[in-house]
Amino acid sequence: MRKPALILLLLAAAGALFGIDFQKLLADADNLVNYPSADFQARYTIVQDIPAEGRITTVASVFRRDREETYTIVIEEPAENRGQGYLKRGATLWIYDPESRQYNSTSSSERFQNSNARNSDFTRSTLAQDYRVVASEQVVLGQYRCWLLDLEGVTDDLTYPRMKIWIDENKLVRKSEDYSLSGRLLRTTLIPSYHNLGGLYVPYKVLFVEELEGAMVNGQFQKEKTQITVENPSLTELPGSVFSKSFLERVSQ
Amino acid sequence: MNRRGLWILAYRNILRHRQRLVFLFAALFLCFSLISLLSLVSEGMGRNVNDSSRIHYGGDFFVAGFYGDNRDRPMWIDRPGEILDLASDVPGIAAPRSQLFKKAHLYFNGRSQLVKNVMGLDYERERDNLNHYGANSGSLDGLGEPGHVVLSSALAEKMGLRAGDGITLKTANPRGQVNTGEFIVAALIDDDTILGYYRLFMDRRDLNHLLGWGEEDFSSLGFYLDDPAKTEYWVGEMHSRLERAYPTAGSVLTRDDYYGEMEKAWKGIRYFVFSLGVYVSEVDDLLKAMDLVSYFIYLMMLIITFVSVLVTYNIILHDRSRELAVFQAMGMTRRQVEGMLLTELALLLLVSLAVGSVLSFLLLTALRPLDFSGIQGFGIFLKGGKLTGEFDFSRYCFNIGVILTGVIPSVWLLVRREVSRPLAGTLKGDK
Repeated sequence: MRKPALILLLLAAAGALFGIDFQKLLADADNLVNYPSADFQARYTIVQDIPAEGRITTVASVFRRDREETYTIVIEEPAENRGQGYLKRGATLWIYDPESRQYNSTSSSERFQNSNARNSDFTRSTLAQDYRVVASEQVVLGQYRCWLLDLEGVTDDLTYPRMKIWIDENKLVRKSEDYSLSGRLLRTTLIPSYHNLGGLYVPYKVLFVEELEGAMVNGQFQKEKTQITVENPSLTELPGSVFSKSFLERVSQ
Repeated sequence: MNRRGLWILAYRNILRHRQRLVFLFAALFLCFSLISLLSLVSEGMGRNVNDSSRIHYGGDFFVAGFYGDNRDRPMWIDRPGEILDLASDVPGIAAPRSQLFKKAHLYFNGRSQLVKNVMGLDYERERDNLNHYGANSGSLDGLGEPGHVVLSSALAEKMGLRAGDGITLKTANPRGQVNTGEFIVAALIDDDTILGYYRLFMDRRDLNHLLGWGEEDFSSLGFYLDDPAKTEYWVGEMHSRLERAYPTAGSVLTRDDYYGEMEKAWKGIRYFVFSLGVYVSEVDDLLKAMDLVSYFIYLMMLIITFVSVLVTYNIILHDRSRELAVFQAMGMTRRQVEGMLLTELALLLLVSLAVGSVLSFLLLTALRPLDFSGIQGFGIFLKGGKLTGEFDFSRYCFNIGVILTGVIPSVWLLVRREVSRPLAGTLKGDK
């Protein structure tokens, strides 16, 4: 018991001694999962676990071009949602319905396919841009030694004005908690594993735990969860047409 | 024959032919009673919708501020003190409210529900009107304390919560930041109407805190007028006062005016003044549908009444053709016979309408104990789940006018045809 405590104490002392720039740490964490000079594509399997109701599985192809702040998502499963698509360009996000062939604008803070993921979870990471570090401490999170940072929004228009974030020694985000303005924990995100693509990282498994939603099962409160598994990630160049409405319309047919 | 003699003769004829006239009498008073009942119930439903909407939105007319820079046009009044001062002489209760439409989620034991209307109000100002509901459990007085909410028992049942339970309310403030608050359910009210089902009342300051507004801020100022009949006057008066001092939208008298003004572009806050009728867009379609059904039934009843009366009267005239011919043979002119028959009809109508009126009130009394709250979507037209009637003198007169206008000319045509027949042939028994 004494040894880890001593290590943590030494690390904390080292942080203070060497004056760790936490804002840079956030920027480094962002940079590891952002791809400004490449296009990203992968297959996402999203399993939502609703206690007392069951599981809903959604499979989607995700295409992302960070340098243009754009992404395209095409739903492949379940069959009833096949062909639905999302197109983000800058601050505008459209959702495409293949049945009506209509686009509706939606918000980045809305739930993705009614799961516990948000539409904003598919964009590039902007922690350093959006938040400042107001407190820090060194902690152990499972097998990882992490910096636990308390973050506060730089502007007053962020969906989650407060966050807690766990960044490991490799500068990868392992856990985050989203809080409301009044300080209520709303959602916990866990990222136990990453794909390594030549120095850039793609989360392999992400678990979102909704803190306010769930159900009593066998006398115990179980929270609603969504697990995302990212497969076949690639950082190869994509044609520009992928990030267009016509692409969504074509693939939905 | 003088007029008095004509009335006496008509009266005696009615008594003599009472067996023949009984069906005509029944057709007239039954149909009139149903038409009157329909009018009473229809007016009552209109009143109930008005009462529910008045308390739901908090007044007979409203001053609301809309922020033009955001395409959602959020409501907020940026000069709460000045607007209250401007309306200080409006006779009635001023009810400032902060409101959220379709932007809040309620959480309890892991369940979540979008709350369509979150109404932040000043309980002390609106206590008398809110008591219209009556608490199913708990006490409405809890609304007077910070940290308490009141919601419908239907929503509570859906969420599995009771008075005294703690809930979490989540919303986003005007800048998009998610915020939450913990509240205690002070009371549950029986209101499962489209207005009340997904509604939550809370203290205005609590909602302001959740939205990041100043304590005294509000989004609209409603007025429960001492005399609601003066709503139109006060809408015009407040509009003039606001227009002179602040950025104000054009005159809003109808929903179309409202939408027209909303489509215009403006910067900052612009003030709107409108009556409850403009506000109640949610129930407007329902009211139109109810009116259509009511007019259709009304028309059907009138057709049935006229057809029954004409067929019956035709048979009666046919039976009395010889008698009428004898009157003419004895020296009565055609005009006098027509007058006698129409006087009989007038007497019959008078009694039928009186009996029909009484019967309509009796029928309404019989309907009152019945509970219609099980009919989905119908609750807004009821009071405590029951049908209520509202007597409107002008509508009552209109109903009588329609009956008289329809029955008298058509009967008169039948009478004319009957007395115009050749006398000799009728006396001989020719048909």
